[in-house]
Amino acid sequence: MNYYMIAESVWEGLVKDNISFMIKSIDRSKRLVITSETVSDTLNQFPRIDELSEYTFTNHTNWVGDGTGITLEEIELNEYISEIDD
Amino acid sequence: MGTTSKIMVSLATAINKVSGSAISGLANIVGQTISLFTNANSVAKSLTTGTAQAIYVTDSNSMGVEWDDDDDFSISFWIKPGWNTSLNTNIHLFSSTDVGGGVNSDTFRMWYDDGNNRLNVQWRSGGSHRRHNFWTFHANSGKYAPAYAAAGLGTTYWNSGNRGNVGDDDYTLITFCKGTANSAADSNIDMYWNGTTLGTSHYTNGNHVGTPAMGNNDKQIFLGSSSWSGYVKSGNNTETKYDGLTMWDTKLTASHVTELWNGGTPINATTHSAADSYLKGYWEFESDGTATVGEDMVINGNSNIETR
Repeated sequence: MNYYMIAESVWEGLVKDNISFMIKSIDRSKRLVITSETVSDTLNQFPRIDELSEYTFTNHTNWVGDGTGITLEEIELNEYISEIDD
Repeated sequence: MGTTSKIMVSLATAINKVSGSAISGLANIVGQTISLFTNANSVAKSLTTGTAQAIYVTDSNSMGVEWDDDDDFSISFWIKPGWNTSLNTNIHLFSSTDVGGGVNSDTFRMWYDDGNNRLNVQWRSGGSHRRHNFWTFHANSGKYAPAYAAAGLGTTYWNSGNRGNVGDDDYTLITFCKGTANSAADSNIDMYWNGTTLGTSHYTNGNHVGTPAMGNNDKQIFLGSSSWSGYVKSGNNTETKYDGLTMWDTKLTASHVTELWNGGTPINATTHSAADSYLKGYWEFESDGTATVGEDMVINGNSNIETR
């Protein structure tokens, strides 16, 4: 799996069936994604899922509005489902 | 009904609402107790987390809500969201855990995932032993259409600026009902928005990891936060208000929920047709956390009783 932060414009070109997790930034300009696809045009890349999680805690003002972050279990439970295009 | 001159023999159990008219007189009531039901207030959950800001009850095994994974039960409450579009994470609406326990200590929880617009339920006895399912609101197609219609949120998310279909004072009644199977399959669970089912849950057969093996230990039951260490996920922006929390020792039927919904006006739950047999917990939050049925809740810190 690959762990990325990407711009909204890059999201449109991704293959949705490859994505297992996605969350938009609060201002909706960026997305954190976990995908099996290799993406070159990224804003950030994380080597492991726990580093993606940690990033949301240390940068919560951009991603989480209650001052917390996105835990590993939340990432697992809130899987991206293209059918309902969250 | 202009005048009731006489009620004999039968017990008049409840008058839920008299609006726009005055009751000029009650001439004679002999040997009966009159209990007037008022619902002017609710409890607001502080945005600050921790037990010092929590709304909770520590069950001492007298309530009858020490449910395990193969018990049937229902949980219902009125909610008025205070979070806004910037929440972008989970807010825990209801959560129970073994007294003093962690997230894996026989936890049952209901939470709204604002990042994905999903209302989730889960029970678990371990990180690898859990049952989970959810309903989503913004997809007006296929099996998701009933939830879209029931919630009335349109194609966007649930928050203080978009409360969807509501009853009195902009409150929504959320009711979760579980059957006796240790399964989050759609056939075993129901979720209602007001008096209307949310329809088919996302995972037809449930999202199952391992096999939860929950005991019947005493519970610590939290409203508006998680029920384990940190007691977090209470939302953002303004306080979310809760009212009329009820816990039932059965899987309520659709008609039971319709009765509880009462067209959007809260009822005295002790007068509900299932109350005598199944109502194990009831908190009205009119002046404090006193239980009408069950054990009293603690309302700590900046969480407080407010007008609806």
